Amino acid sequence: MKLTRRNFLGSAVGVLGAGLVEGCQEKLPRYLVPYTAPPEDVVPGVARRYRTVCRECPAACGATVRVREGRAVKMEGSPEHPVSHGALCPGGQSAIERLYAPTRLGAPWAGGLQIGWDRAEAALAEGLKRALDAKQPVVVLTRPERGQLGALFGAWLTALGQPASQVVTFDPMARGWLREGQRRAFGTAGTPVHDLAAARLLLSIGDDFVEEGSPVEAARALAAQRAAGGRSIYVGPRLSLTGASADEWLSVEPGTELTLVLGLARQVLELGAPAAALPAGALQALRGRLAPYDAATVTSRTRLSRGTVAELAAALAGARPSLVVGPGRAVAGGDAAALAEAVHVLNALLGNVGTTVRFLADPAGLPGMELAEFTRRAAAGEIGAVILHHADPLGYGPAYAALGKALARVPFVAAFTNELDATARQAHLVLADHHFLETWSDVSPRPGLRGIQQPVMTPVLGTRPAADELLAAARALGRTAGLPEGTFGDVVRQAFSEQEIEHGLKVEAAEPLPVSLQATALRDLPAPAPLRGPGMGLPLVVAPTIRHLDGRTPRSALLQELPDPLSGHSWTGWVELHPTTAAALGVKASDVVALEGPGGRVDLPAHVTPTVRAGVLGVPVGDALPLLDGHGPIGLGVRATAAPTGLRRPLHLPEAGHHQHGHELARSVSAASPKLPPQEPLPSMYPPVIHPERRWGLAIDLDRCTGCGACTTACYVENNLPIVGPEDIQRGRSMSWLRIQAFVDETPTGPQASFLPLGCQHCTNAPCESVCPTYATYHTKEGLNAQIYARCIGTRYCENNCPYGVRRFNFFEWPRPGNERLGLNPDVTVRDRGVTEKCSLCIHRIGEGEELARLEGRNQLRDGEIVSACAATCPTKAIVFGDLKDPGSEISRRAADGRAYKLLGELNTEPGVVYLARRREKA
Amino acid sequence: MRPAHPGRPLLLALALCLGCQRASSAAPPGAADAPACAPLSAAAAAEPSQPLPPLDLTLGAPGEPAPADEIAFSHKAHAGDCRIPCLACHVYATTSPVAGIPSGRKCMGCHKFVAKEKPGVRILAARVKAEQPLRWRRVFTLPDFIYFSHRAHLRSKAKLECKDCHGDIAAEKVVRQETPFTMGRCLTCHEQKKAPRDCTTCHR
Repeated sequence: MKLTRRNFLGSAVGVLGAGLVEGCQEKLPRYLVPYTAPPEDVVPGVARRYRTVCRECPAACGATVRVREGRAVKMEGSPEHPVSHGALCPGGQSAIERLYAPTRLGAPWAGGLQIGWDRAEAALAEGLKRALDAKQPVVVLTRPERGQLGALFGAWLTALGQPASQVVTFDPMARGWLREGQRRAFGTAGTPVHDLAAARLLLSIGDDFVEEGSPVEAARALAAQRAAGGRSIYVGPRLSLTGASADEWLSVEPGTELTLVLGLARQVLELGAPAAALPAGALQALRGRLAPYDAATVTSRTRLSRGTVAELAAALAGARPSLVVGPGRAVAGGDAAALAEAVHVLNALLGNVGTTVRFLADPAGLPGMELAEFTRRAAAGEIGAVILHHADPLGYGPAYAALGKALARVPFVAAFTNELDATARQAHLVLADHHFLETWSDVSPRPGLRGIQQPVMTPVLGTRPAADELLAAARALGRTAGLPEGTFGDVVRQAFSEQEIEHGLKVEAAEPLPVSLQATALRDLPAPAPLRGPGMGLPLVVAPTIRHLDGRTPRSALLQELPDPLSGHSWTGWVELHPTTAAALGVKASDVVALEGPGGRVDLPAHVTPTVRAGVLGVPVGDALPLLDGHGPIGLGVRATAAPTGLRRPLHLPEAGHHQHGHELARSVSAASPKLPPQEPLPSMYPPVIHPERRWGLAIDLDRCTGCGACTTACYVENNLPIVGPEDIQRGRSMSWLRIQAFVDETPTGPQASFLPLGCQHCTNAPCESVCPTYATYHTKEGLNAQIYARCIGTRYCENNCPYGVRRFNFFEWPRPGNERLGLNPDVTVRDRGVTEKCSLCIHRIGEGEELARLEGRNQLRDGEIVSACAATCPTKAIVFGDLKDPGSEISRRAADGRAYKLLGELNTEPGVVYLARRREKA
Repeated sequence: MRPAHPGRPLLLALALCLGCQRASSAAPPGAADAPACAPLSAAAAAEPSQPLPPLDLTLGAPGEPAPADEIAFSHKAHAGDCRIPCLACHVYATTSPVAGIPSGRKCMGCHKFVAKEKPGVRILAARVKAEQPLRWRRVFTLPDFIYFSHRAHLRSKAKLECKDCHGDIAAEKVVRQETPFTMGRCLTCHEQKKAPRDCTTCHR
């Protein structure tokens, strides 16, 4: 056919038409496939909930998993669990994302190829057999497993004819200095339990308990402490989330924290309030040991202002009970153990031991092999086979390079893992383990408490549980003496009653451990340890961040996308520089800085902020790993040089920037009279809006918010928010419906950080509604600012007219790789390209709650019956969801508080979100 | 003939687009004229003792018509002639947002004894014995951005019945969607029965 202009156009029409038709096809399944045999307790379309344990970090929060049609879609805290109390941190909220992540391993690997399980099991048995035949030891290198799995490793080794002590725990983030300091001070090895909530004055020596340790439990306790009128003071080189939550930040010269604590101890003794029943001789000895730390020495070394130390000591002695915690990673240098010892002594002198600090006896456990000994023996070629169990030493940079080299000398290394991590890549055999939501286990976060981990769904991938594979290998070798006959799951199930499994925990009696201060306490104080690394370098502060907890959690896409609460950065590391340090280095924000420490070099963009002390480098823990040399714990131990590279890597700035510019967005009130001036009602041209029955809203107490970002993460998972990736984040296309807006404002007393969880304000007079040409957004009778995606044509007028900047536009149909579709919440529409979206106040939860109440014949809803995802997971209950028209509801009580205010109230938008100003000593 | 106008491709495309939407909301092609009792597939003629090949349960390309059901299930025979109530098989309708499709095992509860020799029942028996899932062509669909709850409708004060929306299924040998589920149809009823007419009732 001859191509003429006319038939070219004709065929073009056909092609274009076909393209459009393709575009408007429905993507619904063509079939209905019923169950072959319906599970008795499953009702399609109705969620089931299972209790289990979150294993994202060793805090082991109790969790409730919502399962729809056999697939876990959301994880919440378990309300009965003493650690989580119904809340989870961002790490726990992201567990679902990791369950379906495209990077998860679905089959065993060997030699760079995927292999079948038959071959993998044969290879495992063969590798073990060779080691046993050669009479060389078999070692299990595992993450901390405080439960029956740890015991099984010992039994398994015994069955193979090996000493049960050949279990090596790999815990690079363990804060070993705390135990060592406790041993020196009290001579015991119990588990310390801190009662943060009871302390009238809480002094944190660089202990970032909101970020590291047991973040949910600690944040809840901190909020309770503040609500009861307690004060808190943070000592450290960098303002962390914990520091931002404290009433006061004392920035001391790095490395002088020990001097400060000893100086405080001396002054407390001088104030004559040794509540601890110390023998007179011991007291005299202690006085002598503390003598060199007089106020002048402490002031000159720590460079604190004159009088601060005396004031602090007086405040500590006056507060009954008080509590000193720490030292945390940010201050844990070469003298960390001595610092921990000094903290314990100070607590004892203040009479806190037995009240806010108690000790529980550790259950008898098997002595394991030390990591150093394992490294030495493996390097010497003495180890025959190593079973890695979720341990990734090579992922921790040069600090564990020696262990990596030693592992390379082991003839057979098999790795149980969920992802092909750095160590698994070097292993001879990689065995894909179940996710923790797919398998049985148990874990004891502290004496007396056992969390039961039960599978909530059938596995997504072709994985197999590690414990059962080890049992199968023992059976294949014919060495089953003392091992269970069934699966490990049976063993776990038999250890607990039905009821305990249903509740997901077992509480046992925990033996309290009486302690008394050793006479030798503070006898052998070390000389100040110099920092390792280049002499010209600046002290490197390794900062734990809530996103990556203590750096242990392998980074999931969701946690990478989640902006760091304080800096606002996602998908990148950064180095924090004080403006004066940056100026001295000739570095501006976003300039790439080359850092060189004793471990190696890393290039990071600069985040110039007053929240870090001048003259130090603040680097988040995961990004600091390449700089460390492994000659001390991961903490404050090294110096690093910083030099501009001349390159720039723009760091995405949070929407509103870091400053309030005098606008009172995140407001404060003085703690003495916590009342804001009342907001006068403004005249309006619009007719009054009437909410006949209910007016849903949120009350956000900024006094309780620690900025952890659990709400943001929960919102991502609950509402099917897409992860857009680093490039689109840089373009400002983050899709988060709820963000933590952090402000750092300079005040006469230093920088002050405040957090403002910011989502749709559900305005009564919403500026977005009046500009929508298609009535896609409107105000419902229940007070919601609703967004109807099917009506939205993507003009983005609403986004432009929103004074809060909380509306998001879908530029693309965002990819959901791997099995991520399986984790979508079926109750929430997945938005298409070209529509605007924003916080719906979990409208599907409201609808479900109202529907269930109606089915019960009720029109009234109980307060707390419906909870939005952000409010449900808030560890401190800073966010409360409820009906503002119900006078008895918690939200109404908060709205009537003197601290309540509406964001940008002068615009007369009449938001449904109420903020409560933060109480500050100097507001 | 006038030269092609720049507006024409769009108009034509719109017509095609509307056409396809109509096609998707009506019964799938071939549903109405398939004879109910004739064996529909080669599998039906096979001996039930022979294992049946597993069914393709993939989503398929968008717009691609679904293959015919291998069992010529007749609602007329069950709900009409035998007067089995809807909820006897669609058991979840009063307790869940979805009504549910009975499992093969549920079908065998009766068909162990009844009409054992019919070709469709023989296929059913073979599938259930092999623990293979059944596969039914979907007739009634709503867009995925719509929340609809069976239990809310069936247990509402309006005392709705299945046939109010689905039509007289009991009279149909092969079910087809007589009237499309459009927003207009939902809203007309909601208006008459004084049910909520808020957008967010269905759009979430």
